[in-house]
Amino acid sequence: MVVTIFIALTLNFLLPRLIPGNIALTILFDKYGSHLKPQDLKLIESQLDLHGSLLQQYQIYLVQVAHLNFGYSFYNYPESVSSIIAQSLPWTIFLLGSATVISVLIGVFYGSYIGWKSGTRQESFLSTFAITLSSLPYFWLALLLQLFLAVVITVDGVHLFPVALAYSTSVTPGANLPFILSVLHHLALPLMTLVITTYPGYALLMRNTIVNVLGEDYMLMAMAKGLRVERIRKRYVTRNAILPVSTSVALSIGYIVGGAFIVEEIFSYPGIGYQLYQAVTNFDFPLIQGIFLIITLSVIFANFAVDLIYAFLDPRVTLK
Amino acid sequence: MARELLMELQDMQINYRTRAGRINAVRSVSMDIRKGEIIGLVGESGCGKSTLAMTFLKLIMPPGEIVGGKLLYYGYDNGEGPVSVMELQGGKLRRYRWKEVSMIFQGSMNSLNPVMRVEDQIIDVMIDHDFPEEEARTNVDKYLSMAGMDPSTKRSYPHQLSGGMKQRVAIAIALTCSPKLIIADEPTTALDVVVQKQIMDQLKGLRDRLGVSIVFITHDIAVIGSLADLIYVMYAGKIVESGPVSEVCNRPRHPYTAALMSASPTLKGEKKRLNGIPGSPPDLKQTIVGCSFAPRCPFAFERCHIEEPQLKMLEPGHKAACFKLEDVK
Ligand SMILES: Nc1ncnc2c1ncn2[C@@H]1O[C@H](COP(=O)(O)OP(=O)(O)O)[C@@H](O)[C@H]1O
Ligand SMILES: [Mg+2]
Repeated sequence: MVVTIFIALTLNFLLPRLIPGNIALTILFDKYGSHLKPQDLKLIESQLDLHGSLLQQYQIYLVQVAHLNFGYSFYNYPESVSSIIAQSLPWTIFLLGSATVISVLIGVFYGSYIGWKSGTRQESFLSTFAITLSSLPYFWLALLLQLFLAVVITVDGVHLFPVALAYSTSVTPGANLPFILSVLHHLALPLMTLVITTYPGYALLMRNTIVNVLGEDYMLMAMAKGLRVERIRKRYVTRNAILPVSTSVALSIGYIVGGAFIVEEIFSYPGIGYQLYQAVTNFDFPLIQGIFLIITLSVIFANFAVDLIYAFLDPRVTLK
Repeated sequence: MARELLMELQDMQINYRTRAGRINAVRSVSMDIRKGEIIGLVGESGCGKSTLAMTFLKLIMPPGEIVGGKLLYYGYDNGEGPVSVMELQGGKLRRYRWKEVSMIFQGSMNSLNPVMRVEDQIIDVMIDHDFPEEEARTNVDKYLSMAGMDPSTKRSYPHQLSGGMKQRVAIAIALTCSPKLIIADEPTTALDVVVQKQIMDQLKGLRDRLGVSIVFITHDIAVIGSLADLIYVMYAGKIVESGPVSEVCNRPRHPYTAALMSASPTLKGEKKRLNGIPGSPPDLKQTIVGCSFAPRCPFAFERCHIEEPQLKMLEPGHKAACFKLEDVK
């Protein structure tokens, strides 16, 4: 894992620097045009750690990363990358975390249900439904929900859901009820989009594993043993079928941090994905770099978590 | 020595409906199983042995389908006469399974739940058959040692055990609820000869000590010579010869039994040339006209290809289905 992290760090350092031209210059010219004087440029370059040889820069970069210091955002200068990440990461974890929990729960139950019914008409209908949902592009669903539930449909002249943002500008952030209600109200549409498009994936995975497990020899044995149905379900079917699903969930932790950035962008939800989108459109390299690093690290940790979970759930797997 | 009847199988017929057509896996099998008896069921692979084994526990599931026959169980001593296993449902079926008849599955190394410890797979079946948990726990060691396992292996997961050990665990599980009949479907295939011998001895010992009946299924007739009391020889979904081991093995009457004997190495180690049986079994999707073995039979004559021979009693308890035997009489 250490090696993986090191390689990730190095790539993250090198990639933006492979872009030809002086990035700082390009961006600053964009912003301030010809008002800049050469001495300003020197000052800014030194602040952005862009001076010195590549190796020196690399050394500085590693030290900075170790201090969770990713430099300053070009675009939101003088705000630091880490403070932007610190502000947006909780929103993403909140949105994607709750979406994942809900999707997994719905998916596992839905999938178990159709898995048990495999071969029936009901199953083929429900499976087709899940496949259709899972193939909906989520930006399309997001726009559709936004259009209908937040713009077109009104009840007594009031829109059902807000179009954008994480909470209303009329509430003060903090542990007060109006704020919490506003947060939940704003969460609804992006959450719905994510749940509707991701739970079918879990459901289909669960269904497939259940069907596989039902065909295993130990299931025939469990039937022959005259075990109670609840025991067969819990200890024989679900217990074995949960293994692949848990891997898929753990791997999605990486995706959680990465954010479903198009959904966040559409709903202007101030999470990591939204920031990444902004950073990309504004050529804000330090911010892109910082966000990529966070995403990469969370994917690496997610993989590590998969190993841990697997070792815990599956006695055939041992940690080395 | 007339033992008490435990199970009666009458004219059992089982099909598999597949896309390629209907497979007549079991075309007609009748069998009486008595208490404390070991029955050897032998036949080439694909002749329907496992399918037949499943019926004893009412485990035939789609695409399999029972199209005829009866299975009567006499083991409940409640004075109400035999029960028809095919009509058992719900809780009654659940309690019949394993408590009355248990099974060691073919390839039983794969029939253990990979995520449960050995002991838990022994205990769960006992608890679900209404044994107190305490009793179930204390009996784990007993059943493991009965199957020739070191009780210390009870904490293991299946993947930590060798094939032979898993097979023994499967045997131990089959013993848990003290069933009256154990169906052992090729329990020793894929094991080396030494382990094979040990397991057979174990099974025989169980019968002697517990009085349990055993149906021992194998494709190797030599294996059951020393174990079984009675032998049923199955070919293409039918019994072609049955009788006491001494009779059938020493004086096989059906040409197929004779061919099986000469195709099998003896455990006693006499050297002889092994002749595989030439030809291959008939396609069970087709309706078979005449004797199913006729195309491979060195003695077949005209009648064998037209008419189907029925099982005929040759001596008390010894039956075979072959026209050649009738002509001799
Ligand atoms: N689940 C199944 N679906 C379709 N055909 C099957 C199935 N199980 C067994 N058969 C067929 O039934 C016949 C008998 O199989 P089986 O009972 O397993 O024989 P044996 O145990 O003697 O080798 C074979 O032709 C086999 O292909
Ligand atoms: Mg078989």
